[in-house]
Amino acid sequence: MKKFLLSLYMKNGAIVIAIVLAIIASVLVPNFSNINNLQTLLKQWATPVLICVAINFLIVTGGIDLSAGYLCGLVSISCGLMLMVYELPVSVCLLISILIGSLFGLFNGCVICYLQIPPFITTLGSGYIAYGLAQIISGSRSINHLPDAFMSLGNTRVIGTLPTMVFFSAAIVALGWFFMSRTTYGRKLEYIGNNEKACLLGGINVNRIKCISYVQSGLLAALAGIFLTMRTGSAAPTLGGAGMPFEAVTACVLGGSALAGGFSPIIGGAFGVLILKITENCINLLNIETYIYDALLAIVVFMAIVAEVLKSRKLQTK
Amino acid sequence: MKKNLGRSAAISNIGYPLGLVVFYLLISLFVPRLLTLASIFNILTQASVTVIAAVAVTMVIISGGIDLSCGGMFSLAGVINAILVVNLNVNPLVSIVITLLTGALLGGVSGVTVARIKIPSFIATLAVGNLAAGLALVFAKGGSMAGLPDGFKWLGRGEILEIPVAVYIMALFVVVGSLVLNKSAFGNRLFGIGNNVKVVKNEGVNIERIVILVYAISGFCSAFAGILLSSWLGAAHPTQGAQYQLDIIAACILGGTSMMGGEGKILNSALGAVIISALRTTLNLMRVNSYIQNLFVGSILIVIVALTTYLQKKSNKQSALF
Repeated sequence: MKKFLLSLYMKNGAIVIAIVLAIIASVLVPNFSNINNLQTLLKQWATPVLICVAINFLIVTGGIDLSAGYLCGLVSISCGLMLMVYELPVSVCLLISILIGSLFGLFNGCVICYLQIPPFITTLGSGYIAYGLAQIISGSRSINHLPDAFMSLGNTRVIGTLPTMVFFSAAIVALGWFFMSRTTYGRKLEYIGNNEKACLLGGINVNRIKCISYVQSGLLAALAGIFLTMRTGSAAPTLGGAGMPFEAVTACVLGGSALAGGFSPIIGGAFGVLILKITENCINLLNIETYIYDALLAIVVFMAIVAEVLKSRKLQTK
Repeated sequence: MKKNLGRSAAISNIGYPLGLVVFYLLISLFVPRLLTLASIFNILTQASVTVIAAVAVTMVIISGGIDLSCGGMFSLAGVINAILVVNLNVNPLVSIVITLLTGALLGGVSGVTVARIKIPSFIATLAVGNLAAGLALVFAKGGSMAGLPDGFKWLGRGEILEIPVAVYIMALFVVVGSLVLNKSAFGNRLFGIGNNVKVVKNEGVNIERIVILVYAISGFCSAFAGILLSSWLGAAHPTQGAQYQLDIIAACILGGTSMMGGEGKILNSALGAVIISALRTTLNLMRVNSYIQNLFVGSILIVIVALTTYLQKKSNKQSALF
């Protein structure tokens, strides 16, 4: 029994923790199991999970995208401007927004892969560029009263009362899982994370594969920006922010990703985000100061690091 | 693929400082006021915080790592010091020592994570930085802490012989840092680790200890910079460090520190920090808001890294030919 539980935890740790946490929260925290609160929880889950999927594809090769949060803000405000100032149709606006995100990701990817500049430097710099651009084009203002045609895309309620954006996000998690574990693209990323030199010698176009993963990150960050705009109802340059990528890294770690690269389960990461959001939700419901959450994220990463050490020690002794 | 110890054809010894000084003069063409003694001291005082952190971050980068925890560390150091001095009435000198030790300890934590557990340095230090930033907010209960004694404020605002105290402190850090990096066995091994870990390992050097030490030094310097910052501002703000992370990394890169490790000069990083401080002051005078300043600094960061990496590659190719 003990062995069974242990293996269940090792394989699906995040899922188990999420379920246990949800049960504990619904017993101890008043209003947690309220249907409205659970919906809010899922809505809060829908955006960061996209960043988490993107970051999963990056940390598997030892990369990172620190610009993802700021890119959300840039996409959000350009979306708002296109809708309200230039009065473009919603579909065109969505297309251009996603294009902006992908191009930004392509820029990151090219600088990182073809100029061989460490990803954290590139994305630290490009993040501030995105933030600056967002502030310039918006004049540091946010845009409210977005058209219904846009808002309803993410907020229409289907199957009971869940908004569509939750289903979109779930679909993207499923797609991410498919790409990571069922296509050569995902396999190659895992190989690169395990041994980049061997991949080069084996004839894998390492630079191109890595570059694609950064484009994907930009694209998903754009989607996250759009969803965030739909959820909050206003387009603002400050949406997202610097903390978002770190939250995503924390979620990946909770989901069982190896921080040194080589292995990154998407589904685990998605449940990692759920764990974080349940925690944040409880912190809000219990009226505890919200900045505790930031300290908590870092502590979780450290505990995960310690767990990783213990795991690797166990493997060594075996 | 890696270069000889500490040498590069692309960047000569004198070229960088000279280039940076010329760059400063170029900026001052637009704003003549930058050349007055008062504004030079003002820029140096503002730069001192960045310089002190950049001294240690240069060492970390030379060893092949990176420290992204400086910003959080600035905030935490300021807050811890303020709590000790204001709330607990500890003697400022004692509280500074305690704060510096805390910084070194937290730096050591990232060091252990990087050296022993082999977690990439940017993730380890990002986590430590976020932890420090979070703790700063928790300790300060979200607000800023005023009421620091005047004797303590002297550190950031006082003058000796009409030169700000902060400038002396900054110079001290640069000199001691350069000596440690260039004249000690520790510094020598840092270059070795950045250039070729295997060779240093085969010599029987305890690499883990050196890497842990360099991150601890970085934590120590960041904590000092945080104390200086709160002394200069006159209060400890729990988010005071957030804006400095970009400047510190940009300063190191502007100073020609190689992101691949194994190459860098502390004096150049310090000059890089001064240039950035001058740039920000200029933009402030031109009433450019801070987001757009960050856009400038961010672009400079990417362009300079791209340029130096390109030049280094080129010089490596040439040396491979002959």
